[in-house]
Amino acid sequence: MRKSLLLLSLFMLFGFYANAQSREVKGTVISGEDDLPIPGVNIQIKGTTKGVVTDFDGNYSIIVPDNDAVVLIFRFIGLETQEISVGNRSIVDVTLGTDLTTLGEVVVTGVAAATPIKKLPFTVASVGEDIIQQVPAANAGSALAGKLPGVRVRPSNAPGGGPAIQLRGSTSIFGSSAPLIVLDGVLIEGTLADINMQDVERFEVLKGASAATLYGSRAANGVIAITTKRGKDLKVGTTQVMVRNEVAFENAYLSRSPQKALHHSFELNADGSIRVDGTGQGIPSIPNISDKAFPVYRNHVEDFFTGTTVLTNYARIQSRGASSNTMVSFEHQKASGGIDLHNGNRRYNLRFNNDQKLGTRFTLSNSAIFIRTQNDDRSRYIRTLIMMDPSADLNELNENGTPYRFNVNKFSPTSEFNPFYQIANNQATSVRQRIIANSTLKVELTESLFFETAFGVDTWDNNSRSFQDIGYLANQGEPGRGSLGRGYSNRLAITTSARLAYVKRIGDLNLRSNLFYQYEDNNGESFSVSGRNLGVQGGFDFFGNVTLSPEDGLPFLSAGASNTQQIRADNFSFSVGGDYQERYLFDFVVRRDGVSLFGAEERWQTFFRGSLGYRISEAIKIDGIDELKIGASLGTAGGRPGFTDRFERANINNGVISRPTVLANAFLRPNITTEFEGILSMEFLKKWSFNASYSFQDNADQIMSVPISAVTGRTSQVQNAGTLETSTVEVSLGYKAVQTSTFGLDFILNFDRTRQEITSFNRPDLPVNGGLGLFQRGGGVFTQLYGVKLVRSLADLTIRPDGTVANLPGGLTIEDFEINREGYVIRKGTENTIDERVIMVTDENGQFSQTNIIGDGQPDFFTSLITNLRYKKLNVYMLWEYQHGGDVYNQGAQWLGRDQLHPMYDQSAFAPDERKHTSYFLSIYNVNRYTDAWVEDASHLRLRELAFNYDLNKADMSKLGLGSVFQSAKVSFVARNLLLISGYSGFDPSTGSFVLPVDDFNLPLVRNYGASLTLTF
Amino acid sequence: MKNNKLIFSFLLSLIMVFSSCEDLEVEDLNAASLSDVYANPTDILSVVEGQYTLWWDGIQKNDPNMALSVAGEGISSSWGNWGMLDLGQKPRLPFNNSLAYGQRFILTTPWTRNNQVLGAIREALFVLESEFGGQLIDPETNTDITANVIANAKVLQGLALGWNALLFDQAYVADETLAEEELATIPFVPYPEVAAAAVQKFEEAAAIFLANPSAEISQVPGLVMSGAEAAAFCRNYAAMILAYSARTSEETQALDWAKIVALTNTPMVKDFSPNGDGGFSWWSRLAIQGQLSLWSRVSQRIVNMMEGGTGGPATVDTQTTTAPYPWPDNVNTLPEITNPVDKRLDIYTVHVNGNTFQPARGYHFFSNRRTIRYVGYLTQYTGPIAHLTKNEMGLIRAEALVRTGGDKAAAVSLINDRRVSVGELDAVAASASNDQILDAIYYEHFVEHYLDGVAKPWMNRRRTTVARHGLIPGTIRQLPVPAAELDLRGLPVYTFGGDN
Repeated sequence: MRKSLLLLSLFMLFGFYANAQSREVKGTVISGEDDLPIPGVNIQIKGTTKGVVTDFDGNYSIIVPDNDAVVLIFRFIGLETQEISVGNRSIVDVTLGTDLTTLGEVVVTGVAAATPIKKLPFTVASVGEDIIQQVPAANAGSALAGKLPGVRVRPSNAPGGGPAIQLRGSTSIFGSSAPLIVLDGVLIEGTLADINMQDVERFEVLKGASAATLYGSRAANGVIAITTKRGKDLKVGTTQVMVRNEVAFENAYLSRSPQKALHHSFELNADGSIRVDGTGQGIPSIPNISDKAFPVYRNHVEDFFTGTTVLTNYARIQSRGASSNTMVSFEHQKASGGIDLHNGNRRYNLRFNNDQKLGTRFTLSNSAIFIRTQNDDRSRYIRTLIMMDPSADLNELNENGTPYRFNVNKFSPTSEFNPFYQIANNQATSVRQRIIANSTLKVELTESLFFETAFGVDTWDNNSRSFQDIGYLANQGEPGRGSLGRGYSNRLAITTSARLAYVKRIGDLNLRSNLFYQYEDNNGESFSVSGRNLGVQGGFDFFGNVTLSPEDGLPFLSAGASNTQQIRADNFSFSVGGDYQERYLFDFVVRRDGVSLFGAEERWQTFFRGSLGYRISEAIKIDGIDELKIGASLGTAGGRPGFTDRFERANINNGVISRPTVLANAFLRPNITTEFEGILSMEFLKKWSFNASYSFQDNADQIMSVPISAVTGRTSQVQNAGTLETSTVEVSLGYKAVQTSTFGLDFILNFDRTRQEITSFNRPDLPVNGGLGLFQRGGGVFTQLYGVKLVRSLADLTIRPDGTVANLPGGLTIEDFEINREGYVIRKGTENTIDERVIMVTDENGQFSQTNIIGDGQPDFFTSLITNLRYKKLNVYMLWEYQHGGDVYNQGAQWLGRDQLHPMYDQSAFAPDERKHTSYFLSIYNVNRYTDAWVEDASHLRLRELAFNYDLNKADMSKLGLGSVFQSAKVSFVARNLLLISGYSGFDPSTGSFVLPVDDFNLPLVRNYGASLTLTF
Repeated sequence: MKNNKLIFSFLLSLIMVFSSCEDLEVEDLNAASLSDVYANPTDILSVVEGQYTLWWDGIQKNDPNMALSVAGEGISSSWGNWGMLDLGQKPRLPFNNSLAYGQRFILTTPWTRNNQVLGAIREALFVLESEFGGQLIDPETNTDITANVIANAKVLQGLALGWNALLFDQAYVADETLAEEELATIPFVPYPEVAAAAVQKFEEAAAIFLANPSAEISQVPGLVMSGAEAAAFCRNYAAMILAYSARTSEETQALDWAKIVALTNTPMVKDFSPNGDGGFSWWSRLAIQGQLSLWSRVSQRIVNMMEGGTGGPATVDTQTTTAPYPWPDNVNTLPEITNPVDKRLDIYTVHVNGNTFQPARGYHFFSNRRTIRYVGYLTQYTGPIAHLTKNEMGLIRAEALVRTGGDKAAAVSLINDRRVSVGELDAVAASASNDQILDAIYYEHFVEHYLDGVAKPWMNRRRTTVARHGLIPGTIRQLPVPAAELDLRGLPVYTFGGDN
């Protein structure tokens, strides 16, 4: 039987070929853009799967059936597709013009297939290298700062630190609001700080759930897709080598250092120095008023931040052949953040990208980056630096002549130690090695049907170590007995996917559809081991130096944070989008995710998007309006629970099992963000572009820990128990003011405003961040700051029914109070006396409340302005940002209040009888309780980026006698954070978290200015 | 051929994609599950014994120990940490029992931990009956460990109930006799009943230890106890709970002191002082920050008392010039006491010239004396951490003897133990009046045990019948149920304390 089938098959095959009459057709394909031959053009006989590609010189040869009906299809990405009847010709030369149907910029993220932005009914924002490479950021994450409306990026001031990113506000009350990052198709699990900027060609940003539905349960926070260069833009047969070196000087923004009191309140020795008691503490003068001059007054911030050099070395080779393109790059970056004593961060990146055509139907694309970062993990001790006694000499030596003396602070000798000593006597480093790679095979099944499989991986391991020798003195109490630690973590996140895409123009209908499956496997392990009570002094940083406990004879070792995680997901989606008559736009998506993080009863979840748009300008001609589009979308996306959230966990410590205190939840679901987005997009008067959007997000099923009555012996269960609503308005206005060959000037103005409210919170009121935030059962504004309110008007006093004031004991009435010089209500007659105190707002029992609204972390609005001025070969680029409103809690200033170092203490400017006692100002410090006195306006104007670029082309290089070696060169002077104008009294009001911004001795804003030279061979 | 390659590639890709697919049910490899916990008899023992650490965690570390030790004028500190300033301020404020109070952990830590202990024990004993028919056999050694499990379970119930009774005005009494579904509706029980339940659990444990030599307390570092020794510990600890549960002098007088005498007839064999484990699980904040001069000092009230002063809750003593009480305003430091009346002042404490506290927070926090009694503990956080010593139990028994008209000679010998040999004070005579003897008993409590265990001076001052040893007016005498628990139960929030 099998033999018969084989014979039949052979017969049919023979018959097919025997009946076919064929002939050869040849020709050359050239580009209409530059009249150059195009290699790699796909040529297909219409109606068949048979085809060839052009060679290096654009030539092709194809055997076609010998009849007049043969039609050849010529396809090349970025150029128009042509169908040409061969007729009886044997030579068919073709010129492919620009593909006008792409309508300019095309996006590929979050859509079924590549789609022109003008045909998108929802927002996908993008930024190209014309903007992001003007002032290259330290890493790919920081590059988006200020570039797009609705995208908030807070770069880290620590070298090697990743930025905080938020798109259209928070989507999660407790979890992270960081967006999903996709790098060349790989879902990134680790920090963005590892990804260098010079390789990046383009960002595409899906800000809301409606745009990001295709990423399902990972996309509630939005998606940022990063595309790196691949050598595709080179001319065929060319190779380009580019070398860029940047040397920059960076340092803290010293002129914005917090101000401190210029006078103190201690007793003086005969020589004018501060008299100390047996503890090394200054002895308070009586009366205790800060009006004594310091014997010397040092600026410790300047002593510490002496400025450092940042080196960025980058080299890239790109090459393009007839059937492949390749990019290889290397970058080295070293930065110390302005602190000479600190080693900061050193990073190496090595990238290889390649696209290879295999025959006519296959394209294999590979991307890989290897990263190694080495980080100095030591604290930078900003707290002890700022809290330092202004008269202290940080370089003072110990009695034995060794650097540095640990207790030079007479304000807090036993807690605020010398940061020089601390940094010099601790060791902490970490090294991370990471590979992110992706391999994609694309198969053209027919002219309209594509199949694609991809394998992506993000994997790293991280080793850290720390050491502190015996005898460390900057401790409270006894000298340290020495300690050491080691930490290790690894992660392997694999994504495999298969996609079947159908893209077809059918009459007036452009159809793009996509059937997609993705599997995620994400696992990792971490552990740490630490030892203490070392035996031998002298830097012996190994575990053999850990002594044995007299208690049990075992070494003083502890293993902490041992953690193994395994996350798996199966994701399916179907999407279809397109347009009808170029004006009616539509897009529909269904995605179904099965994720191991969901409870057993809720393992599969469905997400959807429906989106409609209308290109008005295609239907109605309006003078001056070049393009006008409106669109509306409704879509959902999700956020996943944490690995441990659904489990009932009986921890085992020291060999003893604990009963689980957290209840398991088999019904735990993802938090679901449902977004409505409306957009208006317009281009007018040939020079202007205007994009506006309104987004309303309902972030429901918030994942949170819900407490359980103690009678059960349990503490809590992780549940879906809240809703956070977010509305965002975004506007972007572009203006190409001048575009001539010698002069160019363009602007982009961005604006956004976000409001967030908790509308459902099914658990008892929960103070967060020590009470600065308060999420209440009844809901409320998400970003509000709470704390103690000081009485500033007599109306703020609490009057009991009997007429007495509850705020203070003693049966006082309102007549017993008055308002003092600083605007606070005090007891009448106590101003400038030792009894003067501010008064807290209280209830009728005299109990002060910590739940008064004292501020709002949410700004009124953000704007940014990008300007580009070009004159001949000089290009001047600026990025300005302005934040209006919003509050920041200046806890660092409050701490200065504890030690009488805040400038408010300084009474030297007042007449002797108008000087106030330290006890009064200490009442404003208020025991570090969150208090309204320490809330400051975070409004600010910032020149985030400035660049002067001068381009030298081949002719210029020839004039310099370098034309035989270099194709071109670019000389740049760049500055980052050059200017910050703000009434805020700390370094930078844009600090801390987005929701509850607190400046608790956060790292100072770092300024950076330098020069770079880019040479192209 | 090309079609074959196409199909081959297609299939290869699909195989690559789908072969990686695995089940979505993954395990948490970092912890056991509840079913694991109760699958093995020895694991049930492990769960029960693991609760000792949880109990310790709930009372002996930061909260409520530090704040109450300041409120009770054992140590003094005006730092805001752990609520020390809030509960040490003069005049005293009502306790801020709210969900948002920054120092709410004073309440929530002991409340949560003690109830977790009770929950774990209740469940373990329930499983013992339901899954193992009331008998646990170690599968490896084939020995019966039932008595060991039950005895330790009852000790832990006694500890958790006992400390809830000492700290809170009311609490849950939830043991293995309650089914899971009954828990949501059981009411709070007033503290005397909670204390009585604790005493009962300790007595039941003592009976089991006496009847089962193999049962032992072995999970308190450095303190392996079994048989009669364990039984004596249980009964003495129960006596302490009973004696210290009184909130006022009237309640002290109304206590069943005869019961306390009976419970203490057999003294403890050794101090209940768990060994510190280097700062991992078994450590005491009071033994650390209570001995660092930056952080705290011995309360000037105790210094004044040891110098023969008369300072009391409403008594200003400026006559004792070496140690006036309260500390005088506008004085940063006092001269060193060179020849203390009670020699223990120089043995347990040391003079520190100056104060690190801010005058604006009140000079009443000031003191020149730093505790050095357990200074060896600071080196490595190892060695015994005094929680309930034989000496302290002796003082409780002495009080019981006096209050029941018992053997006063025996009572004064317990008092004079360290008073004479270490303090070089005159011995208290058996012929002294009850009031004199009681005064001497409380004196010894404050001198010897202000840094032991949890908030001992606070409990002794609230219950004392000797007026000069009492709490400062307005000082909170017991803790309210945390606002979070009241919220979950739909009950109004209430509080105690305050002098306004």
